[in-house]
Amino acid sequence: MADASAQRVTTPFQRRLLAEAWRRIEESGGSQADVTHAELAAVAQGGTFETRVLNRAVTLAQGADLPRALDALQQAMRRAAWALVLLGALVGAAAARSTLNPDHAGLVNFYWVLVALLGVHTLALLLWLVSLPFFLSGGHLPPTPLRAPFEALARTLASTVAGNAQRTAQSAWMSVLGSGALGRWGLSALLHAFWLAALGGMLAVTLLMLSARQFDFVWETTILPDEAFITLTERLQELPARLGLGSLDRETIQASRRAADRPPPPGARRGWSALLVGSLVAYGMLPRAALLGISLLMLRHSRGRYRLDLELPGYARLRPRLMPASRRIGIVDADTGTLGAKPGESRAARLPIARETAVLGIEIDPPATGWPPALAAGARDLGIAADRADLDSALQRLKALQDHPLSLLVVCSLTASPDRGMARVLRDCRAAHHGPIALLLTQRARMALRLDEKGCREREEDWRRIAAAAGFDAEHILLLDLDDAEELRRFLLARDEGQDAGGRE
Amino acid sequence: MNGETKLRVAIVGHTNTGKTSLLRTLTRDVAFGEISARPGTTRHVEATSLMVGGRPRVELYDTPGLEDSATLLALLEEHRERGDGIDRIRAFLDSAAARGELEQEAKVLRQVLDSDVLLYVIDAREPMLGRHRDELTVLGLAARPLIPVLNFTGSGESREAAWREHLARIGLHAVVAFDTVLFDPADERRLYEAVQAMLAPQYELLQQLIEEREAAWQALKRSAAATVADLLVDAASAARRVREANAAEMKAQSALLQERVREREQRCIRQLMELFAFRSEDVVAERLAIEDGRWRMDLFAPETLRRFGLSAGTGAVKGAAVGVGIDVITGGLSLGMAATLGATIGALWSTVDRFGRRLLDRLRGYVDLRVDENTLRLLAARELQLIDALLRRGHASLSQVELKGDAARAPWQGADLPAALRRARHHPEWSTLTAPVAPVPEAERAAALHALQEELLQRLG
Repeated sequence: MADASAQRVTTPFQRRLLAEAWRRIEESGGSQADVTHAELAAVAQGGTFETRVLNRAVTLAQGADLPRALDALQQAMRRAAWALVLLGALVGAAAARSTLNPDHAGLVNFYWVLVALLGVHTLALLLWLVSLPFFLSGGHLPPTPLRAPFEALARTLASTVAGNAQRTAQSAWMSVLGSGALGRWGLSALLHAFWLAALGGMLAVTLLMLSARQFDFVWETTILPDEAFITLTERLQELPARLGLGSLDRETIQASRRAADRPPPPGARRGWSALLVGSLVAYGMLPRAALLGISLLMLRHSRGRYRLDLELPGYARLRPRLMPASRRIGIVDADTGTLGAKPGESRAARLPIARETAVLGIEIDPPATGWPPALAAGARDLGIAADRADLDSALQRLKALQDHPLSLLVVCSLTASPDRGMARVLRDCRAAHHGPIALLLTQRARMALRLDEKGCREREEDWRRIAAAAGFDAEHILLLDLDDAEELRRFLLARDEGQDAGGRE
Repeated sequence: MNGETKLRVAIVGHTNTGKTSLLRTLTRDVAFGEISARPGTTRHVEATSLMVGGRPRVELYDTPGLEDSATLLALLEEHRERGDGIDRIRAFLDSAAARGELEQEAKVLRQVLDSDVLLYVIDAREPMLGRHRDELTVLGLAARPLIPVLNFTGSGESREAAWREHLARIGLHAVVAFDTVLFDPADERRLYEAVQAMLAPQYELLQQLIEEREAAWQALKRSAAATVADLLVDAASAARRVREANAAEMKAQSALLQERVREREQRCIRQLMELFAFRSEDVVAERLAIEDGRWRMDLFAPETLRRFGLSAGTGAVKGAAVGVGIDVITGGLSLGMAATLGATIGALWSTVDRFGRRLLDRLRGYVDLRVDENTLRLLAARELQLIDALLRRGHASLSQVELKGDAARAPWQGADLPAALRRARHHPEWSTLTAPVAPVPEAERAAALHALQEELLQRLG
């Protein structure tokens, strides 16, 4: 089944039609197909973006049995075209039959017959030629009356297929085939094929009538000079004469003027018949055949030139997936899991800063409220350590103060990453100091600028976790934004009133 | 092309500086690795490669963050007698410490030795600290070309200038600013150019990469404009025929039209998001007041129109809803317009045909409900804003206020709609809103769509 349908999709044009149909199906939300496989295959096959889009679409369309629907549509359109040709032949035959009416056999006005057979065709041809510039410039042809049968055909076809996908696909194909250059030349080919068939029908009936009946062709005029008709006839037969159909000489033409007193010369019948047939061929069928040929060529050319509009959203959205900018290689040096640790839970804090305190900042900017923070009256400033050397010297100075009863306040920024390097710093602080120790986490507002709510929560948890691991008591971890003077003032106020001084507002 | 020369790039840096984010942006792979604000999120070395000419040619290695560089440096110093920097690193990698607490650092260094060039990612909001110096010293031992990449330079807290100065003082001059949050293709280009400058043998490969990225970026812009043009053509050409006398029907139909246009706008947003797959949707959506794939402010709320300096238009007449107007007969294709189209028989025919049918409908008491012109302007304004945010150059020029859609001015304000849209007005059959499965004259619609696309591209600049 799949193989059979795969065989049906042979030409690039058909592949593009399938892709276009699939785009419409996807845009109308009518596809629940799993595209992953088709997309991976398309990427693996490589090529330009269009190639990949086509490969993807053809795979998916085959899954939905669209090639068969396309086949059905093309057959139906061919059948409709042949029906139109048949209709044309019948119409032409009927026209010829009524013109060369056997009941009126005998004396027949040649020009009357000629105009009856070729008049409408010539007028239609002229009309077509006049509208050609507009036609070629891509104007909104075909006008509604000509679109109507086309749309009726579309509707009829749509009602014959089962399934939404097929219906959408057919509508997409009708859109493509019925518009733009494809629509123009397709319609043009139909038009000329119709006329060619009609003229063919006329020719057949005319030959039949001329074979089985006798017509005496004459010409007549009331006000025009005879010479005009003679010249006209001579000019008219120039083209058919090249086809070997037209050998009337001046005398015969002159002799064929209608006259009451004498019948036209019997030798003239063959000549006039040849001219009639020759005119049908040279002025009717040949131009139409040529135009049909041109239209078919242009239709073919348009099919070859038909490209998917890859900038349309339905295609463009595929670009990231079909033309990936990168390809993952995978993990090349895996985590052994030795460093795994889970964040603990703890709550806010009361600082042991009733006694004299030493303050040490780690990798922070001086707070907006000044450094050292105005938390304790006689705070000793150990400075802000920006690197390992600073930290070592600060801890040395702390050791020198060790004989005093002293608490250490380590100030860190929430914007900094609570990583293993930071954990080591906290561990070193804890190890260097034997008295009470507390951690103040500042710059919460800054952190909130960078992280979302969840990120902030996680960041705080992580800080508490590494502080706890370094030996800080959970209640000695304080969140207080030193950049915020108001927050600091309220904190000091609350502490002085001896109330709970939890840092969280 | 000389076979398969590959370029190996290691992304290194302190923990939490956005190494994985940088990789996601460079690879356009939004699901690569794992990202969080917590330290040590990436604990393995993960690789991906950039496609050049459809083949994987540039390998990128995402490494764990360097966390404890002070200890690492001290350990490396212990191996001082072992020779040059690379020997010292090798000695460290063979030691027990490389399998213990410094396992992550060991992974980084192993990868560094296995790479052609290093991108050292820096959070430009942080001051330059001792650990940065330690890290650079350690990486310097590996003797690989190193390009510092300053991340978060678009942030108000960025200390880009200070960083550049500090880095210059230790001999690092090829510094690239690359904000992974506010993506700018020019930054990306500069990054590749910096690599190009350091690795002459890979010049051609990188040049091809740069050119392909540039082409892809242009294609992206064009597709984005086409996506919005598609929406506008659909909305402009949509029409619903109702009996003028029947107020209830008019109300129901205009509400239905409103709903269709709302859904269509949502589809457009979804398409744009899909198009820009590599960008962080959340960031854009949050800044632009988009919620669940739709704008927070309703398209048909008069307030929304006012925010863009537009009036609610003619909608309220005779029971039609806001943003939906009645198409009067003179709004149809006039004979004069047919003449400008080149008054040939075909045009004349279709004009007479159309005009005649409309006249007939009018006499029968039917009118066409259409989307109001100002609503079209509003649609264009909102979607252009979205594209702008998605394409955004990493500058602070777009303030929060503008992003919320307060100060923005709708396009074609006080002027006619572009010709392509006016043309769409006369072709209800072009709209997929009101005639989803009927054959659409695809080529003619596409011509209008592309004309509009060019107009929108100009507005995107």
